[in-house]
Amino acid sequence: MKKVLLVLLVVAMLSSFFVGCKPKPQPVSLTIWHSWSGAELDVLNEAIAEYQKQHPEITINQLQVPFDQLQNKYQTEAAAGGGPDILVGPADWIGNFAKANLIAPLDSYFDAAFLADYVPGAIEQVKFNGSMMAFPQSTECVALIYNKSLVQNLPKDTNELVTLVDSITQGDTYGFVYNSGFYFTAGYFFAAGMKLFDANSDAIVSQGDGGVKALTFLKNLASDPKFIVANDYGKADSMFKEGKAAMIINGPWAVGDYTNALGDKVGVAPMPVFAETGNPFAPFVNTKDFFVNANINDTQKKAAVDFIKFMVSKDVEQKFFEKAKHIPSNVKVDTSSDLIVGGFLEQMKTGVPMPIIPEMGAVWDPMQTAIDSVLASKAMPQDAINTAQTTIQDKINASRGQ
Amino acid sequence: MKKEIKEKLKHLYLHTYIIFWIIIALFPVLWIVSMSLNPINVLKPTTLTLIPKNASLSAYVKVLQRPYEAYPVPFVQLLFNSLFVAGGTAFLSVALAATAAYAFSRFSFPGRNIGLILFLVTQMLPATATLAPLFVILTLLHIRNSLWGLIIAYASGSVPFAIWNLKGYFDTVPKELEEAALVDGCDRNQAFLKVILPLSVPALAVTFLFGFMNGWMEWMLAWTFLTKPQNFTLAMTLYNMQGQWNTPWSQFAAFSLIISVPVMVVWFLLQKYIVSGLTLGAVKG
Amino acid sequence: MVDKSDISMWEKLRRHRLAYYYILPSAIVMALITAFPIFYQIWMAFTNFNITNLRNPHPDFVGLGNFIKIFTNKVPLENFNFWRTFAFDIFWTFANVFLHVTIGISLAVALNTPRLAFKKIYRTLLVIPWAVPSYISALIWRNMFDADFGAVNQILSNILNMTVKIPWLTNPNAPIKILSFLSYAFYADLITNVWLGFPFMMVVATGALQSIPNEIFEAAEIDGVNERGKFFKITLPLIRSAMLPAIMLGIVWTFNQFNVIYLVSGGGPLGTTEILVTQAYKIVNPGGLYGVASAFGLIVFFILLAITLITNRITRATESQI
Repeated sequence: MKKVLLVLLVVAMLSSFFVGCKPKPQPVSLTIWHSWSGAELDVLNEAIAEYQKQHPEITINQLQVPFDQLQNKYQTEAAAGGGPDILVGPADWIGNFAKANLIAPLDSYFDAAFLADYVPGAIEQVKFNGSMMAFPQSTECVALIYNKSLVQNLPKDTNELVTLVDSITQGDTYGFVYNSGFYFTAGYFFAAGMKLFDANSDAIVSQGDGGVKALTFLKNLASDPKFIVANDYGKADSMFKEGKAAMIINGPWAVGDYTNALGDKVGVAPMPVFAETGNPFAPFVNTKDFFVNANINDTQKKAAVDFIKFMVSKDVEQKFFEKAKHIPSNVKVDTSSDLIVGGFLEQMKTGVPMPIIPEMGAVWDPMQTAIDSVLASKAMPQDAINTAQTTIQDKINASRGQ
Repeated sequence: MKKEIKEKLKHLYLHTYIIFWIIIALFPVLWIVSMSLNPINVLKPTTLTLIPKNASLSAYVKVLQRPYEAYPVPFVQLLFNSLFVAGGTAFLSVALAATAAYAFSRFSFPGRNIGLILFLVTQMLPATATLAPLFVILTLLHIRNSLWGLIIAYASGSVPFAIWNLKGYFDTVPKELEEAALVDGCDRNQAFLKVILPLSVPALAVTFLFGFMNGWMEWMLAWTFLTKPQNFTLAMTLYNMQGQWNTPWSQFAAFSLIISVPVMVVWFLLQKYIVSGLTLGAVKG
Repeated sequence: MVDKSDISMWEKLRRHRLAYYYILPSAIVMALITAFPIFYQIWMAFTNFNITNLRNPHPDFVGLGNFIKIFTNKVPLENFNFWRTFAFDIFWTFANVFLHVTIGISLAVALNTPRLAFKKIYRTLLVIPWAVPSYISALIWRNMFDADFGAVNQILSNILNMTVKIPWLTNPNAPIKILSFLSYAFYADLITNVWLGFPFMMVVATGALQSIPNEIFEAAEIDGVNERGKFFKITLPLIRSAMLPAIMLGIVWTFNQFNVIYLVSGGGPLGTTEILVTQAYKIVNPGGLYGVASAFGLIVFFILLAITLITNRITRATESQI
């Protein structure tokens, strides 16, 4: 008993020495996992170096993980109680992560004044059940990418597109190598009037005739031998780089490679309007976000959020924009200089935010199956969309444990 | 004279047949070579040429200089890790399998057939849902985030094949040799170490090679378990080159070849063992 | 066993304890690494384990619900049909193993011809498909099957002197009408996997052939046995015992050949080339239905076990000659 008292006394005395001193900052170490590569990785490293210079007590370790392993790796580690402090990933991971309680809500860390500088749609997208579960770094969507030496006048609607493509395709040069992946072509489904979910997050893809119209449109493109319609990213990509595709659908991440291969011949513009309804192409708009691990303590969380605030500051996002073509979430970043990014920004205006609810995971494969089976003449558009509706809803019910 | 001509004709026919298969075996590899020389990173070259326009070796240089883009781990370090993991896997699986195979080959004991099947059975459960429990067990053993953890996990995948192959070979070693050793006063362990093992070098070499290849090529468990770039392996960093959308295909192809070359060299060196040491079952003799 | 029943079980084990000591180290490692995941999987198979249970592993017990869902094709996944996938997997396995073995043996026999030149170089070149990491070669083959620019169609076009555009990976229809359940992609997968697999069988067969003394062939030649007779009367019976275990392993490997199917055809188009393991993978990722996937894994396990036991019965591959 005496010993304990003595120890307490000593501790009290020692601690009194430090009262009034400025607290020496504790060394903090943060880990960030991402799948950035190339120019974006360079910007990340520069930003980390800059941040560590400003805050010498902080060490930041970054780990690059292959994109298709990142979600799984994080899920496995975080579920076992570990994982990095910060994760960089697309907003559509939020639903599952939040449901499994792997990421921390961030509402308390960002005030209204701070949020005022960010694109409202992006901030809106990262909210799950009313809480902010991530912070947006950049936005992405697909648009028309064209080779200026093969395309002089851009088509206004899909009818003009067909005429134009028919005049360009010759030999092994194609007017349009159309990616029929659902992510890439979803813009025409929404332009045709299709909706994914109702207010209860149940599937409604077969409501109305939007899905049928869009599938019929794709089927018509595919039956035109002057088009290549394939769910094949690599093919569209390679052909465009080799100058054998005049137009493709792709996102800002690809532009760097294209300008390396083709120089200033690369142009970006919104996709042509869907002629049948007169509606513009409405691609998914998704954000790349910073997530904070739910397993870490409050001090770590605070440090992680401080670093995130730095990463989304005007200066850092400006660098991401200039060097890696990231379309910034920060409205203060000056984007006027860049015509290519301008094309994506223009397209984004008619886009729809990618739903982040876990139900979205049930949509991809059934919709792809609908597209593939129509293109392969295995199903009529109406039947294909009905099948997709049933499968999506079954998957949703199963994931809800019904 | 006539017999000689007949043999020549037969050989000509056999050469044609074999060369046909060699062309098929080599074609995809040549495609990788062509991809690795292409300066514009295309996955699907639209024309068939072995040496593409403006061919260059820059992809090889880039890969050797910076194999893991995000962190300056030298190529030699990755190579060392890969050799360590592959060698460790091979060594551990041979060591574990040799004794077990000896028991299966030489003793008749209750549960022998079941046991042999049980080892094979572990290969039959598709590991789709077991990654998380494996993660937990390796974490509990404190080897999850290390090369040792990989070695043990990979070895558990190689051991069943190793046991089968070694048992098959031990079966072909005449029992009389061992019995002679036993008569001379050796015990079972000595007979195993001094008679059976030295006679089984070809099979041990092949088993080693199989374990080595398992450890050399695997990336999926490695990417799930490791978090320190200093521990990464070549196969992991090769896989890492595939981006969500963009992959530097030329570098990917160059790296693929760099990774495959050591394996091919080992193959070539072990050629004579591979043929005589791969005896999954008993060849009577 | 030969022992009389008056010897107790314990006595039997004690008598053979040396054998068990020899097996113990590998048994421990296998048990350590594979047993817990396997039991975990068995437990999950009877629950509705899903993504929310990763943090909170208390899923509801659902009895045989997952198995019933699988057998009645009620798993919420596009193109899910357990029985079709099962039948396809069996066909896939036997088609592959048959080709692996016939091509492997034919090459091994060719390379075993006395006085044939370049044998060593030939053998080295022929094992190259085996030495290249399989996910790299699978990716390469996928691109070679591209309908418009793939090497396969280009070569066929050159040989046949006409434009060939076989939609290898996109057309779910069957090119051969009688085998209506086999889409073009099946043939693409088959070609890829045969390419990957024949060297293994070739090497096994070569090993077995080299243990046949040449005198047997020479004696047969003197007796006037022709090439065919030599092959069927001498070669095949003598290499049989070496080939059978390799075939058994080949069956297990091919039945669970994830890389080729997943990377070349992705199980598509429209699920026509899905095998059981790729289907199981899709149930977890992106499906997130760990419970169903575990049940599915167990089913695959029992199918393979049955196949192995049957093959083992037929071939007695686990017998040794003491």
